[in-house]
Amino acid sequence: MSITDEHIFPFCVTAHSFNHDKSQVAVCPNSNEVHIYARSGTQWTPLHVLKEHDLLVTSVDWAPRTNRIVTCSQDKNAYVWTLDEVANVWKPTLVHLRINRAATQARWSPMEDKFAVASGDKCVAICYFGEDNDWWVSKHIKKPIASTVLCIDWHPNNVLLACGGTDMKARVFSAFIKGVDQKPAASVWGERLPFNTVCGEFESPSGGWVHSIGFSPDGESVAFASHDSSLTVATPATGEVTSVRSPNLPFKSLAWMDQSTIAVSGHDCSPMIYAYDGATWRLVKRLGEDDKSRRSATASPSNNNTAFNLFRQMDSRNQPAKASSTSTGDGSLKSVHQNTITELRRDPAGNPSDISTGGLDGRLIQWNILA
Amino acid sequence: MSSVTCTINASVLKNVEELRLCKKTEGMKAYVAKIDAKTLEVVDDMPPKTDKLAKDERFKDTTLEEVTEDLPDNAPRYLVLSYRYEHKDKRVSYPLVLIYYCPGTARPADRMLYASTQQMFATRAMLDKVYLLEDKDDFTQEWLDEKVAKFSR
Repeated sequence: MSITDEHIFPFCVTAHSFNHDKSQVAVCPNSNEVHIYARSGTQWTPLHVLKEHDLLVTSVDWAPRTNRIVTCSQDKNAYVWTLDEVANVWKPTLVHLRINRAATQARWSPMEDKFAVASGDKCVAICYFGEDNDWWVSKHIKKPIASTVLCIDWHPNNVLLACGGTDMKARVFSAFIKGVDQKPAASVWGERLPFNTVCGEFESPSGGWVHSIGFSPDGESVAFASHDSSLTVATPATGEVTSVRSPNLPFKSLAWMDQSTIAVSGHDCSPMIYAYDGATWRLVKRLGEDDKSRRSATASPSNNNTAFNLFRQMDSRNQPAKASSTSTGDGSLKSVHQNTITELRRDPAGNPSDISTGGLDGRLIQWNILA
Repeated sequence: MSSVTCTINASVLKNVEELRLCKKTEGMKAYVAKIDAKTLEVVDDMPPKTDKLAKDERFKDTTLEEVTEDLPDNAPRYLVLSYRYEHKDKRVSYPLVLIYYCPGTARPADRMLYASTQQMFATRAMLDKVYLLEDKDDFTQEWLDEKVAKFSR
């Protein structure tokens, strides 16, 4: 496993999304704007600023094939941005969400003809483009969600949606929209699924907010990470629901790399890989914690500048650096990220060994988990 | 009050009459009309080729769930229903009901169009039982029976 790219932004990366070939990235710098950076050589240079939201932007998702960006924010709105090639400007289109609380996460469906927005209004809004109205309209999945929905993930068949939230349950719903979707093939999750059908409901051993959820590549299983530091995998075909407790701090983000590998990341500042060995899921490796010499070299542009490092620590971790057992002598963590990893995303092109992580320390790192 | 009033296509009134007079069965029969915004005319909203069928076949028995599923999410419609209703005193009648379906997500222009034409359409089609439906989820048998009960003594 190795780091293929590392960049430090001068702000917390609360959400990020790459375009189809990773030549551009949209990041949310912990504000009401979204910045788009383009790759030039080994650096990322700022290209566009998307300014339309009034409050913190909570999620960004870049659709690889249709090249549209959906952003959602605490201001109860979501916008779909399309690139005007001629003027080289991103044009926003308001989405009629009809939610009364903040939006927490937005994700395009696999076919990119609709997207889901999770919200604090105890519902998930499934948004599609209504031809007769000529704007994005939404249908709400409400029952039986009892509290804020934090995370969503689409099934490869473009119809099923997994949701997890603060009611401590992970559920799989049908988000079938008449007129947009073809009737899906019967699957382990059910057949003949009208909108808002609950296809499965799971919870982790000790309960806890569900921070992240994801379908396996074949759609047969769903994995979710919850605040009791556990990773649970449910497979309805066999009926088994296996949980792995972890001694680490809770995970905030997970992604299936292939049928038997899940990458997770969270408050412990390192991405970790869980693998299925046929019987159980177990932790296989933590990324980025062995190569100390490489890390401290890139930590400061001028080598061995401990004063520079000291103030950088105070900046990115908001506390004066102290020498401790979990850190090296210069007060930084052993891991590459120096603060919580907010999002772990897969390669938009589908490469099963590439992931990217963005954290509160401002780092945006691309990893190869195999090499 | 200068509201836009639409014309009614002759086939619409014909269909309503046929629905009123067709053979009464156990199931529910439904007919949907919509307004063509371009021609400002009330027209049929039926699947293609059904108007070629004989009138008994045209209005096949259906269920409330099927009718609800076919209603669009974001556009208003006029729904004419005929179904078997049993009164409290055990009498059976087959009321002909007009449901003015107007979801909250419909365009304001459309809502104005349907709202202004609704009265005229009900009078011309001689439908005196008219009810407003705003949310598909509310459309249940209990709701329908409750509304019709208000009309019977």
